[in-house]
Amino acid sequence: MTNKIKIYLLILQFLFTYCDKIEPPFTENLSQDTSVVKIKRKILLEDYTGHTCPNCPRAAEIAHNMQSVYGNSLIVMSVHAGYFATPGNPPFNNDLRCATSIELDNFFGVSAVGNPNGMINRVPYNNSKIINPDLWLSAFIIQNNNDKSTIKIDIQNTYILNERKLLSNIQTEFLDELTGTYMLAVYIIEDSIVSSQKNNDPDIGSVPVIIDYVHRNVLRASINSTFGDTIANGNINKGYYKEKTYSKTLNSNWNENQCYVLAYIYDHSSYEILQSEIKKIK
Amino acid sequence: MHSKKYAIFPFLLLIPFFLFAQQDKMNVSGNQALPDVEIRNLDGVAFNTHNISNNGAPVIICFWATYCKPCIKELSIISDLYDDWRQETGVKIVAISIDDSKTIANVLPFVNGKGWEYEFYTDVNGDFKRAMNVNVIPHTFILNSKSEIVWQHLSFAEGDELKYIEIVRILLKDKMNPK
Amino acid sequence: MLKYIFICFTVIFYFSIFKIYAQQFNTSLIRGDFQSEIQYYFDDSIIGTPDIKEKALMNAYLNIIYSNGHFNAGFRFETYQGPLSGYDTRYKGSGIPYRFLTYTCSFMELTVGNFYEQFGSGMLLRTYEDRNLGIDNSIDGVRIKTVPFKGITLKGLWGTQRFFWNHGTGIIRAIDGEFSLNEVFSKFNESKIKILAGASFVSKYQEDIDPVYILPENVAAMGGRLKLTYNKLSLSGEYAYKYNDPSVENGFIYKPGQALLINTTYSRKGLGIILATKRTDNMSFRSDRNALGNVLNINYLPSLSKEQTYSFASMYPIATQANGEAGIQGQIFYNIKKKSKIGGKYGANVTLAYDRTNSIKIHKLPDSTFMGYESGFFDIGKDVYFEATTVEISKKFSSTFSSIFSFVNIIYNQEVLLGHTGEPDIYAKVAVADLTWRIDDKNTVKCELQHLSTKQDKGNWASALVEYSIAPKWFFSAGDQFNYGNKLKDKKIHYYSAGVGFIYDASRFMLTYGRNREGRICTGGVCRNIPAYSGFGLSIISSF
Repeated sequence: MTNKIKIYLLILQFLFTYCDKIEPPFTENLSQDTSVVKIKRKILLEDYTGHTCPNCPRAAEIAHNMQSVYGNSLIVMSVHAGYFATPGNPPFNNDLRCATSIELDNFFGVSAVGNPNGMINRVPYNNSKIINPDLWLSAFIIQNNNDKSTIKIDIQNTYILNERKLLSNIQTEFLDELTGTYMLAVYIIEDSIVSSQKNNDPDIGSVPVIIDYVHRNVLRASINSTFGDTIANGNINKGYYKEKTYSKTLNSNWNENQCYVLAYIYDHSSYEILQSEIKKIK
Repeated sequence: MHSKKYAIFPFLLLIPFFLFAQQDKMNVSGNQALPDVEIRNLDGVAFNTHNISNNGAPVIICFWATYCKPCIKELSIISDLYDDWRQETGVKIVAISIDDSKTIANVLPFVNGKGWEYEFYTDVNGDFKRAMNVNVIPHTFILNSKSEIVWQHLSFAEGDELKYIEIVRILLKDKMNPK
Repeated sequence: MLKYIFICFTVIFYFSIFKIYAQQFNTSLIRGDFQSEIQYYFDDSIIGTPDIKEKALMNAYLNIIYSNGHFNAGFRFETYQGPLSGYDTRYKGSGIPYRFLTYTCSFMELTVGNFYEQFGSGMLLRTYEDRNLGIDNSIDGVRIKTVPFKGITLKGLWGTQRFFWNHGTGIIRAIDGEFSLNEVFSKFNESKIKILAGASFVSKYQEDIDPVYILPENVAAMGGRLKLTYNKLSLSGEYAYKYNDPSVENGFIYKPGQALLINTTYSRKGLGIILATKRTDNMSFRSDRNALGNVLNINYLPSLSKEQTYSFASMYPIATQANGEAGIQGQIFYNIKKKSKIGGKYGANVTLAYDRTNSIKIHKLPDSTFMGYESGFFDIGKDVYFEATTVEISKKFSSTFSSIFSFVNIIYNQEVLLGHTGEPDIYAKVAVADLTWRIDDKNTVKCELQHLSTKQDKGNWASALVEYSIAPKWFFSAGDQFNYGNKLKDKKIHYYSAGVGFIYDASRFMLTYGRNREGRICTGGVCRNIPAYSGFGLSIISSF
């Protein structure tokens, strides 16, 4: 009998070793290696959000903090769509959605999973393209460490003030051999739109509503449709070059001083983004 | 797209199979012994299902739950007849609650509140339910004197209880005049 | 496509052969059950049905268990030809996600393959299947149960969990011991006090590949439980503690979790009383820290509320908040005696129930601490998540006429329970009259009238349902739910339905037609959303 007990105690002891108690700090020591100078890949973080989503300011804060550290290699785009972005009674009567944001959200099913959520270059992390804000940094770092630039994007903008007309010239160059179909999508982003936002984090602002919340990097419209144009197809040689010029008239309620052109190239089969670039329109 | 619709055909074809397989299944000698599963009595003490018996008299096993309206109807209706049934046939009713841990604590006060006098057990994680191939409740089994399953019935409508006792009577008759 | 037909026929063919063969031997036994739910969908723009390209969808399940002496073996074949609307689309496909072999002898039971297990109330570990909710978190691995002394049961298990057609990435290892004092010590055998005690330890392993967080790869949780029964009184309690377990669900905080559940019951013939209380704090426990929804849960945290059965009373069902909630519940079951003044000739039955679930009071800590918040063990928050008061009377007026009257008052916090921020709490009152006429021994008519009144959400509802049954084989039903109180004119919708069912012993065939409102079904606080749908349904259930 006592032998039996001993065996059970042994099993118990064995199992108790199977617990890791983590002591602070809870995060790895992250140091950024900036010694490598070449054409940097810029990673696109799409933050799916809405003005009546009280957890969303915290997510925007996470994105903003990431941008302040990794500004050279991170582009943030806020996509307003879904239940929480729907305009309602004042002060939430502003519509920050657009046809493109709704189409993207429906296609990737982000708000169906819940807001806030995002995508990092639309590459899966833990088997899911849709990534919780608490894991954005993790997913970004994995993307960023995997730093191979295969495509170069250059944006040249011309803005005709009295017509509110934007001409955007986009030059792309493939720096490695590739096969497949690659698409170029070009969007307009407006930064620092002041409008109401629900909030539940007192560290960020007033609770439950921030009346003069600054919405950063809001997706306003697409220039060449939501999913863009094909720029390369089949076996693509190293040095393959393609140039596109688009024009777009800016909506009267957009502040042209805060508007940017965002261009990104993605693989048509996986929707994974290979390269992104952003440039102010004036 | 169209081919997906046809996926249901093999299953539709199964209908007659099940119907005929069930036809007059009630063979009194039955070879379906009860499975060997641990359930608990209302004090929480373990009990093995192969010990369900009634000293040679038939047993009716009812799977039920405190949130299942037709089950409560079944047990309430039988409750009014139970004294008569016992006197006539000696049949015993074993009620197996499949309430999970959300409602399991309700079982004892509930059955006392109802004033039911069956033999009660709980099957909190559905082990016995699975072993008996119960999909939905109420599901009722009738066992012969050797505690072998001879008949089973899904769902409950008023009047089903008369079928139960009819089968119990057939079992008793058969026991007295073995073939 | 042919593949599925082939699989079905092969299974059935071997099953029939095997059944005939197996019946030659008295010791071996083969049993099974089959369930299939088929729905044909109509486009119905009035109720806003989603577009279903396949038009018809089906879920089907076939269980086969073979037993022979000490051995039991079984499997379940599942096929989701497009899972039914509202089920997780990751189920799409066919296969055998569940198969096991069990060896049983006098002192132990060994299972290899998939198994379902529960320790205590399940707040540390419970794996189960609920087809209605689309849940199957069975563990695939090895389990041993042993009884070293009479009254002591020990269980140990090791394995990974089902994740649709795969396994989750985390590994679960767990042991549980239970001790029945009255059985262990012979002198307590006849004691009026019955004592049952148990303890569990559960550990999960998942690799840390995250570049940012230092994650615990092994997370342990443990708990103890005690049940005392003395005459008509019973007291049971269970406590569980979980070590640091940052996850998507808790927002990657390193705070430990804990849960407490206490149940007290008193009952004698004709009266039953139950008082219960529960508090959970950061107790979501999954074998994958990135999982959300009804997948890869290791533990089960039921809400503390009465399980409502009438369709309007369950229109606003509570969903468990695994990150933290505190609840109380009281229920009284009382039987008014036959031939008493109030009870009349046939007596009556009364149920009173009250339950309420609140938030837990938390003090938020800065994000930089990674601890989330602080909350004292008995701190209860001010926010009401859910409250229900139920009065139910069932009374038989004559040998042919019986009735159930039910009244439920509900407070439902849709901000928390549905995530509809800014929407007001729903205050709903539900009244039900459930009347049954027994025409003769076989024919019964049942009529169920319900009304729900609320100023919030979709406003008032009324419904009538008539069921006619011919025992023991047939039943017919027809009904309508009418959202007459909807503020929007075009949303004052009739949800009519009709059905016919045929029962042959252990088989049931049911054909339904009608509209179904959008909603969610919950069992034990675990929920599944169902989009509105309209059309024909066929349900087949059979045990053999």
